[in-house]
Amino acid sequence: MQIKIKSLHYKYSETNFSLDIPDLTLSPGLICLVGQNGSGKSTLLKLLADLLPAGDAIKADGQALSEYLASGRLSKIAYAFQDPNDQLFNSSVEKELAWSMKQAKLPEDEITRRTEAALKEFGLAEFRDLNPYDLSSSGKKLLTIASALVLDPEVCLLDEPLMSLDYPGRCLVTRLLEKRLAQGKTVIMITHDMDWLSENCQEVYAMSQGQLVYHGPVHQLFSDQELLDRLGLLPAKTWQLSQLLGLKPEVLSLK
Amino acid sequence: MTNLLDQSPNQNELDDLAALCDQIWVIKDGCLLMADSPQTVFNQLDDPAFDKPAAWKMAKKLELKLDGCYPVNARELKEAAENAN
Repeated sequence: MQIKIKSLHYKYSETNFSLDIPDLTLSPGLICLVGQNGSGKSTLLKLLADLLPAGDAIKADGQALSEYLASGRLSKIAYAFQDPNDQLFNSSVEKELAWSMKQAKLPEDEITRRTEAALKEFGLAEFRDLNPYDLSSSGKKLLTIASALVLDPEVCLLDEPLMSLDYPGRCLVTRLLEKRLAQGKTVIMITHDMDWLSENCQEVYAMSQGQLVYHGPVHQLFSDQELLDRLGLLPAKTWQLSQLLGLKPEVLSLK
Repeated sequence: MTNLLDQSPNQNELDDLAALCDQIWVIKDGCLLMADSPQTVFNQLDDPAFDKPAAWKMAKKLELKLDGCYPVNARELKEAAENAN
């Protein structure tokens, strides 16, 4: 799915914040958004999920986004919230995973098959009967991502998917995202994790005060100190250490 | 400063811990696995559930050691690199 943005303007009625994106085309692959809190990353992600109204400013495969999503929305675009408490509401982990598939009216046996697969893949099988609110913060985060991926959508919108995850959880999510990307799907994610970014992402979009102020290679962003200061970002730890040792950071991957 | 490590936090936090803490306690499945200096913990802990600081990983890749161990923070890494030159 190709997503095109043209003259996108969004303003919250209760604040002075406004988001303005004049022109942007997003093709399948990994798209990472960085920027300080309040820069507009989550607002853009919600607009791309049609959770906030964008009018005709966002088009998916040439069609206005809301029209494109009018049928089969859940298998086209999935969204995982930054705060799992904003997303999880079912009484058990198993029901939470099955919920979106029930809304999409998948056959019962298919729902069971996919639920079992997700429980196993995300290491949540032993917690299947637990209330999602009783999971660890890492477990809750994994459940929000699992619930978003279970319908195998074309586009996955993930708001800080690595936040709160322990190391095995981060490795798991990284592997699953790589798998989806290899299938030609789109993953649009917000992250503050510059180390993950430098190891896993080629190009990055940076936002500040509701505007896209940079799009390009990650290593070029890390090389631009003035831009980093403006964005309130620090480069990846490996980048900082490479500079300390007088090495070329872009050739030193720790993956 | 002592920090409780209950499965690794993110990379930046690990590097901050390695630079700031006197002791790190490592807990897994309700058991205290280790309680020692960052140098000892990150050089001796061999468990796939735990990540290592970027300085440690870089030192390992570049084969830079300090007193027989891989450095765990930026200051030690720089010192090891200077000693190697």
